[in-house]
Amino acid sequence: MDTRAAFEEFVRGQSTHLFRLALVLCGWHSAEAQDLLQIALERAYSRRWLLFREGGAAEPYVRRVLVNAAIDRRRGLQRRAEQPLGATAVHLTVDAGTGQIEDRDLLLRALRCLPPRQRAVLVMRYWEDLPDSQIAAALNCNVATVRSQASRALVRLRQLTGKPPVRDI
Amino acid sequence: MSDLEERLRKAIDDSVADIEPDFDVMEAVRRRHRRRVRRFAAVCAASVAVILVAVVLLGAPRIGPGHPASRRTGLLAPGFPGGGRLLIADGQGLDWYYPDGRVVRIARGFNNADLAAGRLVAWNKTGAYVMNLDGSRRRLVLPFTRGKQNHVIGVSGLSPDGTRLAYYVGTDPVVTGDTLWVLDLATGQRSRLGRVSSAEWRDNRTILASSADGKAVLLINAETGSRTVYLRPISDRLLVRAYQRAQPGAGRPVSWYDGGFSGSGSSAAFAVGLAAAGPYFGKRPAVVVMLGGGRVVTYSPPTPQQFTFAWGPGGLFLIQTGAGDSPDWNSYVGTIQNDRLARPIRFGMDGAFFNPAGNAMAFLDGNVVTFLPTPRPACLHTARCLHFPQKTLTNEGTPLAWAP
Repeated sequence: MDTRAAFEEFVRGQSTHLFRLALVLCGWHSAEAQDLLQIALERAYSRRWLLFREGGAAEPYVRRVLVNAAIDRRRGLQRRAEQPLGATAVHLTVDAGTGQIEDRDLLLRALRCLPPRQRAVLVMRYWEDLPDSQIAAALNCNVATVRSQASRALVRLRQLTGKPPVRDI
Repeated sequence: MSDLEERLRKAIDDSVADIEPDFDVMEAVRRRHRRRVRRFAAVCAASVAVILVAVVLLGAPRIGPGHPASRRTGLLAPGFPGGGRLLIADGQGLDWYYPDGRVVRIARGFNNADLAAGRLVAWNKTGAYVMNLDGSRRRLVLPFTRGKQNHVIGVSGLSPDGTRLAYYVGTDPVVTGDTLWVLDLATGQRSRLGRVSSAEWRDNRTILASSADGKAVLLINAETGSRTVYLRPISDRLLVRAYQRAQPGAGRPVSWYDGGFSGSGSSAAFAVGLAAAGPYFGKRPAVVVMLGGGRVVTYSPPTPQQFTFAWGPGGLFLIQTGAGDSPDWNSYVGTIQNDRLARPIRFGMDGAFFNPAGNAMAFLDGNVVTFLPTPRPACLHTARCLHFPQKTLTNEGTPLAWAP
């Protein structure tokens, strides 16, 4: 299988998951998520096309590009004090009157309020079930940093959702 | 996993469970990749273009008198006030240029030239030609046709009004004795002044000048300082007496550096020098200015070395003193009206001239030109004359003279 075919196979198999990851990282902005996914895939194909021949080795690199691009973009938006219009966002389907959905909506809104790096740590750790070592590799930091970021993110998430932190006894 | 973490995982799962990319990911990536390739190619092309332009500009030969662009861009034009144009020759003295970059084309191939009153007399081995400064109306006035030998004009003196030429013709390579002539450039008639002793001639060490009315011709052997001063009607005896008056006890001058007639022809000035040895050793040189009516003004510069003298407009004159190739020469601007000199200025110079406005110009090292003060009475006694605006010339030649 040549590189082009391997890349197309990778895109067909991983694009949905990567798009969802981009969507969560960028706060459910669809256009922004599309842009992030294209950036990650195109950059991986341009710079590390050999990875697609080795089967599976490309995914960590694409994730790394995607996560860092999302973090950089959120930082840039924060510096510019601009936010994408809400009309482009994927609206969550909230069924009023259902407590479970209200809780989910509350969590997702709190997640969007987290700093981009902490958000990325939580998403990769609890949604993708990645080990801390892979998260550290994706974020280009050490494992201790990942753990501390996760701890701070959870504390902040509890504060935002009104639930006090659980103390281990 | 705690409750919060579990709820978070489930919330994210639920929020994206039904979401699929609603665009052709592969096609979008291809488009983006093509855009990147095009952008990269454009950046490369722009970089190459910038490098090429830089190489062309930096590698271009310097625009100087010999560069064709100098004729178009006028980089040689110094833009001096008061009008007039400076004639600049290159290092070989063969190609002459105006400061605006135009080449005096006809000057090419000539051995030397003399300039006065807007006329140019240039000569080579074939003869002497008179022409306008722009090269137009070139006319052969003095063919050198005698025998098979190369004949040259050893020295020439064009009268200040540009109508008469004092000259003698010798044979190359050693210019030996011949006849001194005065040529009327308008009519072509020449008159013989006398025969010059061959032992007294050494080509470029001879000073020759002609007055405007043609009645006085100065011819001095600068090397030997011998008695070859032809003055008509001014006698050498008058000149010697004037020099001795300036240098009491000096005896007869033994070196003659420079000389000429003023623009009106009514005055003549000569720079005479000191003896290298003998009873006159150590005596100062002097400028002897003989005015009309028999008046004589002398000036001895403080530097007891060789010096040059040049007349300027309005009775001004310029003296430069120094030692041979030393970069430190003094310049003095004087008038014959009040016999006063401007404050001396010390600098290395390639030459100094008066421009038509009466301002003396000195050419320093590094193609820098300095305006010397016009010696008005107030200027001679104040420090204002020490402030000289400078201007950088772009030329590699040697300034020759001011053309009207």
